Amino acid sequence: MSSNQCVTLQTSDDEQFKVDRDVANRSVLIRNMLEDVGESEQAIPLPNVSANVLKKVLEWCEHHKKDPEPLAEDLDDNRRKTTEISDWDAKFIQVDQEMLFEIILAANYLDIKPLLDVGCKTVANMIKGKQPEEIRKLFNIVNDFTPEEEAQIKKENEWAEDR
Amino acid sequence: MSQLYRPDRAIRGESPPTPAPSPQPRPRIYASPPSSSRAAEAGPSRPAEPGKRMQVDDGEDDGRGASGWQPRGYRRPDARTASSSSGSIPFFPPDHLPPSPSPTGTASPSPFTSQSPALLEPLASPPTNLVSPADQVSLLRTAVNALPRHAREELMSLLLLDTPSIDLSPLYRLIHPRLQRDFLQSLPLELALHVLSFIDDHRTLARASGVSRYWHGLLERHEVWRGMCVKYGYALPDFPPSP
Repeated sequence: MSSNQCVTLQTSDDEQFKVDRDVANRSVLIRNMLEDVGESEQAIPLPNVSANVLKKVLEWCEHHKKDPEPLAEDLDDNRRKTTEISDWDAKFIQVDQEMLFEIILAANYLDIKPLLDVGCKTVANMIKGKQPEEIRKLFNIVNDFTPEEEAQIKKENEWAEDR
Repeated sequence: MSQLYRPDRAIRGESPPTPAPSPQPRPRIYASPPSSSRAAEAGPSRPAEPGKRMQVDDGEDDGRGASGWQPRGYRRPDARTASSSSGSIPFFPPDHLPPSPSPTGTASPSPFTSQSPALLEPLASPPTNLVSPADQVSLLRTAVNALPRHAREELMSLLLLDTPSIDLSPLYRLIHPRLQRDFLQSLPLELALHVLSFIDDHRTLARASGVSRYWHGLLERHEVWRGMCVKYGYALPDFPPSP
């Protein structure tokens, strides 16, 4: 199959996106579906992804369509985890939290590992170096500890603070 | 949905002349938008209205013909004629028309005999008393929610552009929290753990356990500390470090 064939994707809110096959192939889910189904004019339904999110995800896929396949060992190896994000990806992922959340879910569902990692690293970077209260404020989380519990946890975590 | 007719009627309402004095159904047409106070005035006579209108219109028509006015059903010119002929009444945008003249507006009838049923229909609907802004909002809301997503998005963008920044300020407080997410709690467990796997700083992990009960529970999981243990050369019983 030539790589410039088009594939039609249909979102949960019934919008259709026509994309090059090599763009769609960034999604392992779609790639496998296309391999199973073969040539087809029919739109591929993506019931878990809405149009606004798919648009964003496809923007990433378009930019990364020529990326080499990640090596299997890179996908597994915990020790090689890096928190670095490329400049383009960092700019791409500068979105509000709701969109970031949806991108992570979509990347997971569509099986786009590198995009999933970009999303999760971004959240991790948001948490890094922050005090609990700063994290609560950032993510709008209610502190549901009792004062006693809070004191207890603080005590438990003293070890980490002195290292 | 009756509210869908409204914009339509409002637009038609633009062309009309300042209702001139004379008891006439015509002004009642303009009175029909529910928001208008004229609507309320027109209310009582409503049941008889459609028939009455036709009659009067026809009669007026003749008179009109004499005055050199013709195209039946051609509204705009008629409107102009009417307002200029009634001269004494200044032009007001329809919204600002004084309510009182309506029941006594001058005849500018002919057009209405040929009005499309679509326009007349809403008139026949139950008396449109004054519709409160709250009701208007709820009608508009229903209509907007019925729009396709694209259209709704475009409409909201336009409204935001039309709104002075200072009036957006209260909305920001409405929007901002809705775009915030407690990622670790909202994501499926395996994804929350995946996020934490990118944190290789024990201090951050320890502090994160003090955010909420949910985060505390999550950070007590061995998986979270596995990376740390590997990094510092400790072995966990459940998760021996990979070679």
